[in-house]
Amino acid sequence: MTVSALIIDDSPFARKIIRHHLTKLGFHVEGEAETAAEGLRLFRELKPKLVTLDVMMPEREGIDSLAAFRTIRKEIPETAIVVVSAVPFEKTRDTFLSEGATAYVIKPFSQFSFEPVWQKLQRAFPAWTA
Amino acid sequence: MNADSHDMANDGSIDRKAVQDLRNEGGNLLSDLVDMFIHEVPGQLAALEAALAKGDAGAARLTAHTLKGTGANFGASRMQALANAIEEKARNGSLEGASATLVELRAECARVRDDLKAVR
Repeated sequence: MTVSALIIDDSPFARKIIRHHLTKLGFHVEGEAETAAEGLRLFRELKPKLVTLDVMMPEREGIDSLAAFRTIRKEIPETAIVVVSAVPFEKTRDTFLSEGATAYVIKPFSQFSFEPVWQKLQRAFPAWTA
Repeated sequence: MNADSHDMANDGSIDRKAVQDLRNEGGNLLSDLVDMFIHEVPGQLAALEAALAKGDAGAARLTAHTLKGTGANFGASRMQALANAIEEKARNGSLEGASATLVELRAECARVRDDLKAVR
């Protein structure tokens, strides 16, 4: 089963690396956005099953990462959202996880940091492993 | 973290294992990331310099954060530490001394670039 994915991250390095690992795992990366606002627009257009969302991005059009996250959760709650962050702040992590993020990954994003997330996604979405 | 006293795990500016891990991923990943570093980082440094000149702590914090993340991909510890030092100053709303740190960061980014060119 090919699972569609959207990457929202202001760092071109992060987007490149995340795309590489998701593609290697069999995801189809349908889009990339470098702001939360652009990410939200692409989310509504593409309706991906998985979104990776960077925590710390410049706010544009009044939308930051948390606002985009909450909108995605509200509009299509079954979307898997992997929050990617360079900041290991417990409060930030707890906020996203308590509001329904599937996982919270600390950068740099790598095969090793994503492995436990992939296992979690497989448990949450068994069809993805078919 | 005190950037000046940061304990380097390597004698170079980048972590050889981190780079090897990227190389092991195959394709053009490492090469593409090195190209990206060469083309993106000068603009990020210029943006940081402009933010500091304007006293714009918010912009300085975000740009320093981006540079820290860029360095993290290659295990560039000193680059990360220097960028983090500026990010923390900006987060605390005091940019005093940040311009001097930027001079060090610019030099360190040049070292990282040269080391990446050598291992690509």
